[in-house]
Amino acid sequence: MKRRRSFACLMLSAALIANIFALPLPAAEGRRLVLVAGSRSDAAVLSPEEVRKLYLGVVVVKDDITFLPLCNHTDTVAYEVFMQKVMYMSGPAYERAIMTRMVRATSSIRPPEYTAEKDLLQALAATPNTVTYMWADKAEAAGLKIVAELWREK
Amino acid sequence: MNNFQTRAVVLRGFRWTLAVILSGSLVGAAVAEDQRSDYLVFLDAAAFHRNGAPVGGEIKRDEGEAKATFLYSWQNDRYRLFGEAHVADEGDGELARLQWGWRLAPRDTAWFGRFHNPQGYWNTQYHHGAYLQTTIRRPGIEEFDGHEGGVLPSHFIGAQLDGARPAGRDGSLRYELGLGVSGALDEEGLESPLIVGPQRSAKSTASLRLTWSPQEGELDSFGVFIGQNRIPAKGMDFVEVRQTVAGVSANKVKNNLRFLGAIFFLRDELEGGAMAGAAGGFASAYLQAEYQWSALWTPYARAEGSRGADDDPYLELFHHFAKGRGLAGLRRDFGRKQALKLEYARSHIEHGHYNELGVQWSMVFP
Repeated sequence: MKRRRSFACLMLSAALIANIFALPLPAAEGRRLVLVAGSRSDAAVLSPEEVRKLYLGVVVVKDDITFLPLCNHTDTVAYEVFMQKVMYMSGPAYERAIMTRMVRATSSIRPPEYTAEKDLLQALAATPNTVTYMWADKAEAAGLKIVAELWREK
Repeated sequence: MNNFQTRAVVLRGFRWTLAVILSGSLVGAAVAEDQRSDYLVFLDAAAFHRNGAPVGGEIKRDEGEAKATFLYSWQNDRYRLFGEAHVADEGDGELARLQWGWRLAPRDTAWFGRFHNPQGYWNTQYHHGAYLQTTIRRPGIEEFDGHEGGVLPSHFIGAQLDGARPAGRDGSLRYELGLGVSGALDEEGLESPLIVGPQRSAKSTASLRLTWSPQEGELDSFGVFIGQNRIPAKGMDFVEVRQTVAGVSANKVKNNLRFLGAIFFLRDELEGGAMAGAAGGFASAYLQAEYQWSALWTPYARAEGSRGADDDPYLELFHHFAKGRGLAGLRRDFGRKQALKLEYARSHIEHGHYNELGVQWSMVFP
């Protein structure tokens, strides 16, 4: 009797575990990386190609707004995803690319880096033409304006 | 007042004018709303061991060098300021660049000051940033003037207009037009004009470079450049060199492979003095291949060559010019923005061949 119960428990546990793996993880469901601006910003929608140019130091002007990019270092995963899926390069390769542009003086300023979320949000709020990348759920919670969807988890 | 003194006075006047303009822009900075600044500090130290026929005479067998470069950039929506100071352990120090720019449009800037000469590719792409360039050695044709023995003026003082226009679906055509005064020549070699310090005579220079990038902001680029330098000579058998430079450059990345190279055509005419009328020309080229084996390791190789280098009376003055060179090396990135490079090179100069083994540490902050 004990053996039969333990066998049933084992099967039930296996079924539960299998069920857990069969269901999509809530966190993986369409997690989106977006480009955001301050809530009062009039920033126009940017394409992923324009975002890539902007972060490589190219002056991007749309609807008479000259965009200023900010580097979000508050979330390591978001930064890595941005580098791999939007910039198509590693972090060190990206840094070398923008430093080279600065040495050439073609784009004299690198995107400022923010490691504290509070400072990043303050910078977005203070200057309407600044943009940065972050997870959509964080952007919505902070009341930021989503300018473009950069990547969606499948 | 002779010609030399006149030009020295003109240059001094230009330096004062530049100083006044710069101070004006900084006053403007204090009231501008949208202003940003940035800086970079490059450090590098290298050691070389050489052997071969010319070693021990003009070329040192063992040599070490350390360099530091400070780069500062400031801009608001109307003005831009850019400065670069460079010091080396042998006591060399210079204000390599000091540029004040007026933004004519978001992507067009008129600059005044001291610039990198856009006649070529390497000189403006990396200049003193050892960490940024994959190799230790620069190509011979793009070597620095002064002690390094370069044959082209590395800098000029004057004005530059640069900017970019859309070209193709996602591409751009970048232009750089430079006008001013550039190098002077004496027995020590070619030297660019200085903004601060004792001034040598200098004459006019003009350059135009066009660079097409199929994807703006990316590494891939194809360029064409042309320029003319009037180089005054002191203590030589001639009084001036009229140098015409033209060439093309290319930079192509395919997966983990990167190719970059340039071809130069130079025509040098000596004027005045006993050698008046002597003229010649030569072509020089280099091709570099890099393989990004991983995020940290990059093996690389470069071939340099020239044609007609024995027929140019101007080039005969530069005994260390590498008429041919083959090099191979390995770069290892580590830590936060640091790199270690090991490089072997075999160079062919006027007095024979020599081998060189070099190791370099470089970094950039922040």
